[in-house]
Amino acid sequence: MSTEPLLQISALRAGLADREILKGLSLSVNAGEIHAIMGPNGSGKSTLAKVLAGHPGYPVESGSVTFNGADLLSMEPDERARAGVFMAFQYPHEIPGVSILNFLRTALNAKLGKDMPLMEFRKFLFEKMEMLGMDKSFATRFVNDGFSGGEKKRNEILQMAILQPTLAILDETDSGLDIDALKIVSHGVNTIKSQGKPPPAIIIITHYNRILDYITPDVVHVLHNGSIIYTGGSDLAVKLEEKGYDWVIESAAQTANSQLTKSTHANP
Amino acid sequence: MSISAVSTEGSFSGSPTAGAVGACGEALVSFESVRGLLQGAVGGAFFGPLRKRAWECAKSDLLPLPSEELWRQTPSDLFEFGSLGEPCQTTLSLCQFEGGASKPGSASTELPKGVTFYSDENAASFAQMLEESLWKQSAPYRDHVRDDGFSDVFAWLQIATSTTVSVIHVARGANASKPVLLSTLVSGVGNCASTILLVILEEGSSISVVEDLDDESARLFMPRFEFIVGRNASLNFISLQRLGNKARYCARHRVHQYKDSRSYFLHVALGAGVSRLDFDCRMLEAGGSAVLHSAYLADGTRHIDLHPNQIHLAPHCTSNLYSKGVIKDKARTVYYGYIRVAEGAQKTDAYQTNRNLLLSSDARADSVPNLEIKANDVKCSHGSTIGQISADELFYLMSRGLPRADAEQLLVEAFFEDLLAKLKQPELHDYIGAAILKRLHKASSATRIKSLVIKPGLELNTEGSLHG
Repeated sequence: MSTEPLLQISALRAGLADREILKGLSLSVNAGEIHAIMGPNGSGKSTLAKVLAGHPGYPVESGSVTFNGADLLSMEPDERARAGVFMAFQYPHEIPGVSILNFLRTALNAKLGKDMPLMEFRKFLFEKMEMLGMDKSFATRFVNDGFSGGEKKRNEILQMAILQPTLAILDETDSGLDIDALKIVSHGVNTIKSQGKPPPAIIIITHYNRILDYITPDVVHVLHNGSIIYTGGSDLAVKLEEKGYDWVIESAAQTANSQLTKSTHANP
Repeated sequence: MSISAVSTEGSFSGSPTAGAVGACGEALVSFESVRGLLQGAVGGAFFGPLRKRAWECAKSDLLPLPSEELWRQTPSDLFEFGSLGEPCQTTLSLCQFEGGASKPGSASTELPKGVTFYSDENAASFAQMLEESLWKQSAPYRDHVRDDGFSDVFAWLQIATSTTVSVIHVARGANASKPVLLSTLVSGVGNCASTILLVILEEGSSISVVEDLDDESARLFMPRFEFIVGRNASLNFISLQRLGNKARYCARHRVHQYKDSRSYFLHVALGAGVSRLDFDCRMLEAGGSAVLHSAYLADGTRHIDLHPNQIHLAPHCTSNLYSKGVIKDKARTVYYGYIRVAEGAQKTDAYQTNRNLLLSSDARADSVPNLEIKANDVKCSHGSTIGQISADELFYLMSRGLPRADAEQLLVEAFFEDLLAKLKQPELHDYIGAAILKRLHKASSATRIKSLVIKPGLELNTEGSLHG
């Protein structure tokens, strides 16, 4: 078993063309781990997801990201997907004219590098749809076309189930969902994790942390002003729910100050 | 009995010139005149005098100036009307539609029950049909099939250069469930090929007609189709225009709808160097509904022009126009649509939507929807969009593992798919889809293209044949 992290982000500086959002972010994720990334609005959570997926609107200024030992940042979005990275979009796009069955089969064939026979694929798709409580009729509907918010998010998890990534990034999958939809989506993610060979690593980006009631993270990070300021276990999520973000931001600032003081004393 | 091309005594010299459009006497394509023209088919002393008169009118009447609104974006000189010579022999034929295995030119005894095709061969029984059924029942039609706007220099040119008139007649109550294929057969050395077709649906009848205009020659094609949809009748008409790059296409289609009738049109424009379709849908009695779809794909330096008119003369009718086009390379398209609602056409529901997808920085689409509403209790709307492939949609697809080129192809196929998905007959979906795909990938460097959306697994050899 490799001791190298599956995903290693080092001092990442990235953002929009005119504005830096991630300011030296570092993060390590090992295979099969579930990491939660939380933080106030504007902290850079969604930007992190988009940069990892390779969105062209978010250029990288400096820093590095390795995935399975390879340089992720030099790969096109489709290369990253075929290498095993999957992002569940916060606002999934509608693609009228393309059916879900057709779309997922094309995507899976691109990943496998060969064509899976239609009957085999249909069976596979219907299995996953059943797991997510989706009616079979959805297979012939156009991707996200006319879907409710909950249906769109569930469709993202269906894609995850079909493409079987090694690293899944869930970008605020819980926002806009009611409790029932959230339970279904979480159940889907947990099932995918438990059935995975190997089980995927998952980065859950969430603002409200309700999803963490249903998907238990191994590690919780707090993102603030473009970098991770605090890392803890799953109990951190509970503390944040009780106390909000302010205490952790202050606490992190104090730690940084005391370290600075220490270092100036040590190296005058 | 065949009708040989009647020369109008060498009077094809001279040509129409540009200038202001003027009138040229009474309407030539009124029902009366068509009846006379059709009756004249008996004995073969056909057309000649009518064509001669039409040619005189065409010469004295003038082509529109580029400054005129309706011709501003598609200058008439693109069609090279000035170089018209003797027309070539053009005939239409009708047979059962069997996809790629259809046999145009085969005996029309294979047509569905109740459907008769009249042209040169059966001119005598044609005249008889006319007298016995059509003329007697056509009283309500006669006043309406009149030219209001279609009686101009182009009408004269179409008649002058037509060598045949054909009729598809569907008997009262006949329901032809399987589609029929309309083919245009051109022979001879002339540089223009015009056809006049009347499609008559008697009360309560229905038919689906697929026209596949697939000719590589560098001619000017000027078809004139008039559809009469009788009470409670239902017409499906799909036109696939895939002429060669040097052809010019200047077509006029008109549908006249009677009480409670239904029509569905899909015009697909893929070919010709310059193509223009003027299409009128006229609601003459209450309860009619029309679904008017069109798809166009302009590549290279193609110029495609679509001028649809939804004309509501009676109340309680619906017309819904949905037109989509993809423009790439240095091609250009024009959409100029009109909804005209007459006073008294209350409770009209009329919609027109035009969507354009530009795939290159030199591609250009013009979209001009218009409304002219004279009734005060109607629902009318129009919408048009011109845009490029959405970067966000492209990213979404790429993030699922599709390479950029595949993602773009998928989005372009998907753009047309929602029109194709509305076709009622699945065999037509694949046939039309394959035609669009072939044109879409004609300039591609790959020799084999796989359809990602329209018919997944369908493989096309970009040179010609179909597999899968």
